[in-house]
Amino acid sequence: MDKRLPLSPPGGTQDLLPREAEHIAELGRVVSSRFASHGYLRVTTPPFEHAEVLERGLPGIDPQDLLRFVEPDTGEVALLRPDITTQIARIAATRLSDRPAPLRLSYLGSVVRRRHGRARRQRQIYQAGIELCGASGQPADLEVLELASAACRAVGLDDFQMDLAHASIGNAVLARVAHGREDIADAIARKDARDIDLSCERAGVKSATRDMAHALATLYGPPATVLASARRLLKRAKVTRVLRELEELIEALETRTTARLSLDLGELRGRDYYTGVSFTVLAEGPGEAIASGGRYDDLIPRFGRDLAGVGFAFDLSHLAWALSAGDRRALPERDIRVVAGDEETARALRAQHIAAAVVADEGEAYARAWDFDAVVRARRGEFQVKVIGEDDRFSLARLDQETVGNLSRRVARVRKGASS
Amino acid sequence: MPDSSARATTIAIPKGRVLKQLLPILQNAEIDTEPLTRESRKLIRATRTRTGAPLRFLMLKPDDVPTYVEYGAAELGIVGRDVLLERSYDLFVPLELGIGRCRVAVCGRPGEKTTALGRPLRIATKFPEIAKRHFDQRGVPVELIYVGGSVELAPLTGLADLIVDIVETGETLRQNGLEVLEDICEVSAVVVGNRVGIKLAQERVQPLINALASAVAAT
Repeated sequence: MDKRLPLSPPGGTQDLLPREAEHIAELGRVVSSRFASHGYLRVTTPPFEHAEVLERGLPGIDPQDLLRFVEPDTGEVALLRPDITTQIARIAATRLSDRPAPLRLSYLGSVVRRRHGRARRQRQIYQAGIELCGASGQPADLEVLELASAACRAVGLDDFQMDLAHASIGNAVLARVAHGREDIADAIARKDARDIDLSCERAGVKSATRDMAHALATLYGPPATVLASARRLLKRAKVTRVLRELEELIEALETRTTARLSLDLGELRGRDYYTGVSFTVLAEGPGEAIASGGRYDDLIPRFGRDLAGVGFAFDLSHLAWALSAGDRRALPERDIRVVAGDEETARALRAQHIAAAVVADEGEAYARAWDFDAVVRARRGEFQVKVIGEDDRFSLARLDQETVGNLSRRVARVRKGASS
Repeated sequence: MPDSSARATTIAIPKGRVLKQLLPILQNAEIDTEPLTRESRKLIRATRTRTGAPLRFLMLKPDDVPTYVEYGAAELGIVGRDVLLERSYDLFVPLELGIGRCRVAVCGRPGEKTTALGRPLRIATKFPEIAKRHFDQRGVPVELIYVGGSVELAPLTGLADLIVDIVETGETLRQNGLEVLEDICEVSAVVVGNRVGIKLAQERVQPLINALASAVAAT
């Protein structure tokens, strides 16, 4: 073997091995079926596109975060998709242009971002998300927020926080700055008081604006507290109407989710993209949001159709991380997997929707204990089940529903014992 | 579900020089610092605030502090701004501590040019990103040479024309016949926070940040 051959995948990309891959796939399946139950229809989009098309949808993205290549056939620059929302916007404006709005679309796939210079260099992100195109106003925002909450519950996550922001508030303050807006926005987004001072000084802004920039950096936390302080501290920015809208949205959301709610009026990172409310879903574990989304009314018009838009996406790896960080079971039972001594037994098991594989002998099954949960042998019309990792065995006359139940409970108990 | 008010807040702190200057601030914030000063090789030190809130300090190399906080292994961290400037981290910076104050500067032999030679300037530094940004903004072509320490040696041995380094008192420069030629920025220690951790545990973390802020004001 050539020792110089780099056998691990490129930095930031990863292979997922059976357990992890199944976990991610299962999470994708569960949240997608939740999306479907709310009337969202699945679309799939290509993994790369003309760079100009995707860039049109992502004006604020750092060019260094993108992975480009020259397509050999055409000599055009292509871009590995850093985002699926832009592709959905393109579809909504073009191939679905004859469908009346609103369009409810969902997707499941991976995106690629470089994330240069950060400690966490993950580049390949598994996403599952939805877009509600052609619906504006509070009911649409609420529908998306509620669906995000319902999808978290569907995978068994019950302790999470929804953190809301609104692009118009930060933008109203920044509109008072003539030059150097980006530096100030960046300092506010990091809640960095000294850098807010320095960048305001460089930009030569008035003290009233500087005070509001400082206020934005501190306006995060429980919605009622934040809104009350915002009314006081941001008086001059004329954001009373937006604050009232946000308050109404939060009141409505409180009746529809048990998630903790919070506000961060200094969250300015998505301000090139979001035009209204935006949000992240936070939970213990990954140290980053498990889902994020918001309203982007400028996006679909860039592709030629005048439609508002709002949506969100899960980062499925972060969701999996959050689930395993809690002490609850990550998912409803995964399929129990047994190994049968012969093809006939395996067929009988599969007919009962039990995943079954045939291996040469019991020894091989035990050697692959990470892969299988139980060994089933048929002898004279009777099944014998041996749970891997445990010595006792019990016999089963027929694999009826009750038997299946017993089998799966049995295996679940064993697995739980092994993991604790 | 553990009661979140009883959970310890995890703070990543740098061992060494900055820690000494940090102790009075922690004491003013009514944190029991005895476990931090104890002669021990333990990397996790548990302590409490005077009100009984449990804290867990992670004793790290300064460069590792932002990494622990960015990944959420610690909710808060204390680190010099130079470390944050050298690599872009996705963190909140809720408080400037005003300790460990120093500057990052271009240094060299007295009178050495910092603009252009007939060839790119050779710069030895532990901070290649900060150095690159500085010279890029001036349109000066440079060749960056990474060195891990004793940077002052580079111009003396002909390894580099100039160095970019942290200057605290300037004593090392003086003793080696070098001086500050151009200031790049002032840096001091800051509190950094995980973007998610601060929000999930705000009722536990915010009072601590506030206490540190009052302590800084009083110190």
